[in-house]
Amino acid sequence: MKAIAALTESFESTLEIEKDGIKDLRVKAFEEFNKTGIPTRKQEYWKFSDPSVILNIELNHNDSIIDIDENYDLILCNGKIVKNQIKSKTGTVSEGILNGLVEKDIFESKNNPFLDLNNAFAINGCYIDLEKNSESTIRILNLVNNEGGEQAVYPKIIINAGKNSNTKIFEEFRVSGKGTNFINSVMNVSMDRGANLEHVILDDYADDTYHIANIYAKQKKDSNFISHNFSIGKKFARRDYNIELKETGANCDLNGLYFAANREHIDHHTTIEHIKNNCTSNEHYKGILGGKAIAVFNGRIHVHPDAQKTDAIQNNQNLLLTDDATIHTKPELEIYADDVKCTHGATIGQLDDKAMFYLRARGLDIDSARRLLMRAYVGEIIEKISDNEIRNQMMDIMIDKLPKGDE
Amino acid sequence: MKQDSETEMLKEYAEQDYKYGFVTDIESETLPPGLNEDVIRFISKKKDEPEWLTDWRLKAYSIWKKMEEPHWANIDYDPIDYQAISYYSAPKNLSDGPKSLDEVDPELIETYNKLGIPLEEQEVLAGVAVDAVFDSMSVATTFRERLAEKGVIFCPISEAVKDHPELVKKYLGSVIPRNDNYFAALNSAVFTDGSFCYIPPGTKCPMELSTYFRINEQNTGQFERTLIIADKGAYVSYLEGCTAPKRDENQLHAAVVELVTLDDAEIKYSTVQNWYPGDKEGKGGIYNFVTKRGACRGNSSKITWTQVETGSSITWKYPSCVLHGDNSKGEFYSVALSALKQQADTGTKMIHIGKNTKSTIISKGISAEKGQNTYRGQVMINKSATGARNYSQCDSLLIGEECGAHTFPYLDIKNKKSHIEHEASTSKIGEDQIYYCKQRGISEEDAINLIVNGFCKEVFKELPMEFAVEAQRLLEVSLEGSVG
Amino acid sequence: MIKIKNLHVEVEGTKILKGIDLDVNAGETHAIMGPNGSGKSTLAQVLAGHEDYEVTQGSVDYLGNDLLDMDVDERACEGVFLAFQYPVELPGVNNTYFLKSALNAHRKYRGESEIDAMDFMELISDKIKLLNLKESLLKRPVNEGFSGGEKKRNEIFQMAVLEPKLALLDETDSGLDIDALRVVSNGVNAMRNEENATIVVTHYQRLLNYIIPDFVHVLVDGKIIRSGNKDLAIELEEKGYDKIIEGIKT
Repeated sequence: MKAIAALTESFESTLEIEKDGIKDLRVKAFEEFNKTGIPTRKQEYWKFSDPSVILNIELNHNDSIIDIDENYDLILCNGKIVKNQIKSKTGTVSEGILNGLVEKDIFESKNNPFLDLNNAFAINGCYIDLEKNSESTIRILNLVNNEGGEQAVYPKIIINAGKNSNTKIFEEFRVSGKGTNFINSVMNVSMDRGANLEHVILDDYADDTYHIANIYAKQKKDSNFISHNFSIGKKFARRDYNIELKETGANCDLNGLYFAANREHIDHHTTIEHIKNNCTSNEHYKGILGGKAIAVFNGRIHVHPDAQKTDAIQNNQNLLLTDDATIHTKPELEIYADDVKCTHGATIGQLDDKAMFYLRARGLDIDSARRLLMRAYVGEIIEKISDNEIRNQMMDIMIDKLPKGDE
Repeated sequence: MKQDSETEMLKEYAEQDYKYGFVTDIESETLPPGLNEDVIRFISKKKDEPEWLTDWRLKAYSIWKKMEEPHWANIDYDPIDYQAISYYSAPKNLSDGPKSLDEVDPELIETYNKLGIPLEEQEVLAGVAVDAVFDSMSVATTFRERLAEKGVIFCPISEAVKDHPELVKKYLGSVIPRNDNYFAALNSAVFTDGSFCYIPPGTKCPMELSTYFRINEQNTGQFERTLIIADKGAYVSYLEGCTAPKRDENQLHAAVVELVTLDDAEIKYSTVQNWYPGDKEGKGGIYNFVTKRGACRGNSSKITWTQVETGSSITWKYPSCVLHGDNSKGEFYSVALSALKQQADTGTKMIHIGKNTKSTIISKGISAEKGQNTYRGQVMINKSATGARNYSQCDSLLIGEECGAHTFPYLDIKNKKSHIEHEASTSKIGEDQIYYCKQRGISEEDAINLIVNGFCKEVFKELPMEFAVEAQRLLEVSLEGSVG
Repeated sequence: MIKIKNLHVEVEGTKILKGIDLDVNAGETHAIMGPNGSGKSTLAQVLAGHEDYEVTQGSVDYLGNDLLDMDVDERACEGVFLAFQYPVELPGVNNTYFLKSALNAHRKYRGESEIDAMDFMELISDKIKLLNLKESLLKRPVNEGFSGGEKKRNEIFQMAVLEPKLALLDETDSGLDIDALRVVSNGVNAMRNEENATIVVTHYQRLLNYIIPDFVHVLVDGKIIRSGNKDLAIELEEKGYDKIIEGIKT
């Protein structure tokens, strides 16, 4: 329980900060968190990933910054803004709230202790307001820096996509330094009518990192949220998407690619709430697992009674490279409206023997043949990125990170 | 206007009486409600059981007492008062057991006639041996001689305990241990009767075996226990069909069915379940908490579960296969219908342990009116199961706006040389499909039956012929008027 | 046989047919031609009784009865047959079983007993030859996995079995190659007699080379703007719809 003591102490020290317009909300969030604490595997939602492992770490809040300038429009270090070149208005969450820009429901507890915990420490969060009818491409570096030792960081990004705005965001999560990190990140996306947002995230962790990420998106009429999630698993990675299609004609695409090897653990839970009629969702996640890695995929599509004419597709495919790797996949459908079209599928398999044979018969060695097929396998996801430059960059990165069977 | 006619038809259906809702008046010897060690000793004594079985039951009871009723399923029901249930009831004047049909209470025969399953006719026409369970006591067994010629043992489990103790002792609880789950533990403590079947090596059972279950006594839980063993190279097809009379109070049904196949053996187990589903408010239906599992112990053995579930207000049922033997196969074919206010949480588990094991899951869920239908399944490929394959397909059909369909498939894979494919879809009957049928002169109701039967076809074709016809008929009756 | 008077039809508030008058007598074949979106298919659908089409004005008399007053299946049993432009797939529903159900529904409507299984098999094996369809299609689910041409031939095959009084062929030629077109047309022609009538809805003239119409009507923007004999179809094919429309206007 050392961890919780450090956590409480950390939290209390944040209360001394001046000009904190969200202090009450933060205190309330911390109280909410304390009601449940860190969940255990007994809960269905955490059945295959035990988050209580993070209690082995001293959860000292660290929001120190280092001097860094790379070719990004926005750089966060341990959750704090160190560089901001975004042309439209951005600022800290507290400023956002003081300006009346951030909806308070961002601080609502959603029975998710990690959301509560992030909210409790949301003093440094970054608020991005995309003006209506604006067009932009934004590159973000979300850096976690550790000077050695055990630390907890709480990056928070709030994106408000204005009416008919059109935005591409490339976000990279990077860990530098040494020591053990608990990263509890949250992204809140709120999309106004007709807004388009394409979000590419590359999540590559250091060995000693426990990352729990929550992405919440609320979509209004005819908005379109496209997410490309590239996760490379390390010690413990859990990334949850919660999408609410709140008004007619909204669409979301969730594309994902995850790699894990050695003893890595990677878990994705996605929930798409089809609340109103004529919304569409399209989800496609693929994984490649080597070593003794464990991957979890839980995709849930929930069609509410008012969501007639829903069209939802979900697919999860997995490639196992070793006998010691494990995949737990659970594609869930919960349907309460009768005029809907929902399909989901999941497959687990290996590279096609026939294709391997064919390639080798053409002179490729096993390794090259395997990589060629894996390239095709991951290409299907990467090719969904609309921006040429980002797509090519992701292709290079992901090919480089392909797990090897024996790792 | 369409809405109105739908409401009208729904009303008509809701008011339609349960076809098999009548009560047979037979004097019964019934224990007062309540459960304790004495009750278990009473049941055991009444059945003249050996001491090992009494102890086995008592141990199960002590396990059960320490367990909690599971609530993870997607079902909602009033709490069950286990002390308000009577755990023993047997037709009194038959306590010596009938030797032939002549000795059976004529009123009982009449009951079966009303259900459309006259024993005599079945004997002659269908060539099916019937082990009829009326409440907890077996009252008629036919074709015993013919089966005996082949060395097939088919008898009430209470008889098997006396006549074949070595088999019962060896296999009882070997597939579903007493501590497996809450309802299995309860069943192990208080089971009153059920069927026992043993097919000797190399034998193809000469006829399809069937049992008709029926819940009758008020407040009497039914705790059947079925054990089927197919020895090396043996084959048997077993049919189970149930209807139950109308009741105002919910009745608990917690059966356990264990199947074992040795090398190259095959068991086909088919069920048509039509327990009373309750009224349109969901009152009075059967609570059906069943544990069914088969173990493919031998290499190249096979177990097929086929079920058509149209009844019960609550269905909690996951017929499963544990594939130990190399090259063994497990199959699950299911049609589950939830209309009225019925809730069904059903599916299967396929546990792959042996090499090159294969499993197939075809599940068709139909939700109508206020019905909630859940598919819950698990495919587990263990590290040892190299070459394992699974194919699952779970389709849901929604009819009406107040129903729900849910799919929770768990796929847990630990072997790289395995291949798993899961597909699921949810849809409604297309208006264009109904229009097309009507343009060819087919009435709307017939069009819906055609389309629903088409939807279920992959499952129906797995059923023995006469069962398939009954199943089709059941669906039609159950869906009558539920579409506008 | 059928008398359509001043028929106005709307779909979701949009006026599609704006006053159609058409008389078809037994023994006649009428072709309705028109550019895309003129309302040709609507006319076929509304006669078959599709619920999405709302009749706002006018009347349709069919053999002395009010056709618009009948439900879809009633019209079918009274002998109105629509060969669909896009035949619907019925997964899992056996083609033969479907056809038998349909035929028996017709017989029941007429107060006849159900057809004997042997007689039925004989009937369909006769008719299937007429359409040059593979017997294996009978065992497959209705229209599921059929090629475009097979679907269209299957429609006419059903028509041959059900023997309607009034056949409505909605763009039956679309998606057919020349050989299939000939087979389908021969099938339709073989069924023509003094007792029944056919309304052929088509965009192109080519079908009318095989199914020779007695009358041709040009439907533009919800109205019949010209009627004539088979030569009108040829004129249309040569000049195109625009010229004909212009010719009317000027």
